[in-house]
Amino acid sequence: MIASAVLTFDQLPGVMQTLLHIMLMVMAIASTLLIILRNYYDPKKIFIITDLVILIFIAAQLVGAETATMRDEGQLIVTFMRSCFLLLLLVNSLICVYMVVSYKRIRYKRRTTYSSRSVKEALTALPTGICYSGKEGNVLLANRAINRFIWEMLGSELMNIDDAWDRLREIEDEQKSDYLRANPDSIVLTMSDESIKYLVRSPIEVDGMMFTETVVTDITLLHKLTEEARQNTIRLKSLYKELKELSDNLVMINHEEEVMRHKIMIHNNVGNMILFTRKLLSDPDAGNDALKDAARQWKVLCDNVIGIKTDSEKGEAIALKELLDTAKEIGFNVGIHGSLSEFSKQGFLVRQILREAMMNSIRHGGADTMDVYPSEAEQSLILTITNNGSVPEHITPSGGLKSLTEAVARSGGSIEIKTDDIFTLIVMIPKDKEGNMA
Amino acid sequence: MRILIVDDSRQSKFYLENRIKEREEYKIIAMIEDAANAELYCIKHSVDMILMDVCTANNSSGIEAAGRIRKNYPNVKVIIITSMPEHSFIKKARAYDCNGFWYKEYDEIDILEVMDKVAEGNYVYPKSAPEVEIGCTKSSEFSPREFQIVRLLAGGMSRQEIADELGISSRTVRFYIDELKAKTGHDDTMKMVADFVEKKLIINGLK
Repeated sequence: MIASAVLTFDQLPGVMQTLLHIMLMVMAIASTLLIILRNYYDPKKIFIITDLVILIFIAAQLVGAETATMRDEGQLIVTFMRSCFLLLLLVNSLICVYMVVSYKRIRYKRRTTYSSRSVKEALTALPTGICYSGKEGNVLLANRAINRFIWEMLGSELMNIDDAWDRLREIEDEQKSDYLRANPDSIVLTMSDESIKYLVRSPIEVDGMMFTETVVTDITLLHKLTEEARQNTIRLKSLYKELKELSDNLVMINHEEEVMRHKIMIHNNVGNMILFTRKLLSDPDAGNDALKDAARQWKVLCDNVIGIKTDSEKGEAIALKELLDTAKEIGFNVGIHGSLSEFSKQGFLVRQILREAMMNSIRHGGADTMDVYPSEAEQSLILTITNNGSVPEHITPSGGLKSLTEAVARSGGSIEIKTDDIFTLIVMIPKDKEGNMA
Repeated sequence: MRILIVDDSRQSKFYLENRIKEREEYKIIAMIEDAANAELYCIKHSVDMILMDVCTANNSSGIEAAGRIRKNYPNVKVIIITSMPEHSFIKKARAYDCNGFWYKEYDEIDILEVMDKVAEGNYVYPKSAPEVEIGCTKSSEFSPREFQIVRLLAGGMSRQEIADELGISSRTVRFYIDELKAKTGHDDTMKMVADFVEKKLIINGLK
């Protein structure tokens, strides 16, 4: 009953049969394409097997449809498959749905999966030149950008990257550029259009095999910005230096301002005194007391004028004189047996040394006399200092002596202490360095 | 009381000498110009009170010398005197236990009054450093950290070096600098620092 109610292919009208033929052929072609694409983008066994089964099924239908139509013409009948037409239609619909889903899946895979072809396409499109080579430098993969670069620089095609590298290195040496580079094993070249190319190579390992990756990058803009930044840094450092000098000199500037104010004040006072004295001398009633007072004021004024001259003559000699005068005022005698003129560059350090030696000899040895013997070696200046105080049994540098030792060490020198018959301090200062206090 | 004056300004020494002469109880034993030599007087027990300028001859720092003297000779009283409104001087003087602090040009109190109070055993300090105008703001508007940063800038340090010195990030230093420029109205960092230096709010170079 069921069988009699169902149509078979040969019972369909001719137009319908033709349409079905076409549909089956299209499905066969689509199935074949599906298998090819599947194999390329989504090679899962289960899907490939399914695709093959579908293709065979479609092919069987095609053959069945052919034989059904050929039967009436008396040709050899090969009944491959006879089944209910509607059932076949349902199955074919399911096959179409399956193929649509498969195509969508393959399209997704194509978008999201790398294949060797997609890698090659991407490399070719890169603006950066890139090349992969084997152990001997033989090129395995190179994109358009690096080929173009090599052609421009060497006038030949890129066959061996090692040879090309050596030749490019020679060109770099000829160009004598002074570009800064992060990687010493790199090449920086200026092109004919003034652009700057940066080449670097590095080893990479893939599946246990070693390859070399060579990359060519355009760094024209980077170089320009780096150069600008470098110039700005130089300018900034210069400004910082000027600011530091201003700051360091402020004490001196302030002193000079005070001297200037003092000079202006004295100038005004001299003017006033001249007018006052002239008036006094032309006044017949002016007494001796007034004249004596005026004379005293002139003396003060003269002392101030002399003081300006002294203020202007600051220097190492004056500073040392002040130290020695101070020592004398407190009843301590310092004898300098030689010239300290060679020590003028290290004046601050020398005064610190003498001062510290004085204080230690008074404090620990009860001395009242100190003798200083300056001398000179090939690379250093030597100060030998003795005193007439008692010799301590043991010396541990602390306080002032410790800070002095550190200050001398900072200037590259050294201190030696001897406690034989008399206490002796030997300070060695390198000739080419200035001493600075902590 | 034996007084030692340490000042490299003749005008200042002249003024102090004349003022102190008015009091019989004070006797000036010496006037020197280099603060580094002041300790020599102390070691011979020759001085009871020192009037110590901050910026003395040969770039010697009077405050540093005062610190050594107060540590080694606590019986010697030290009064710091200065004409510079540098903001860190008062703080350093206190840290070194100096007995007094007097501004030559700004203080309303007389130097003899300071000396009298110090001789009695008191500590005499002004309430704060003098206010100086920097750009469009006053020096009292700046925080200690801001002064610190300006000082390091005046010392020729770059922003990164300042950050390393203070243990902060370079961005934080930049923030402080921008804040300072906003407060002072200066649009240039160097000009701003130069303003601080010229107004003597920042003094580097003392030894």
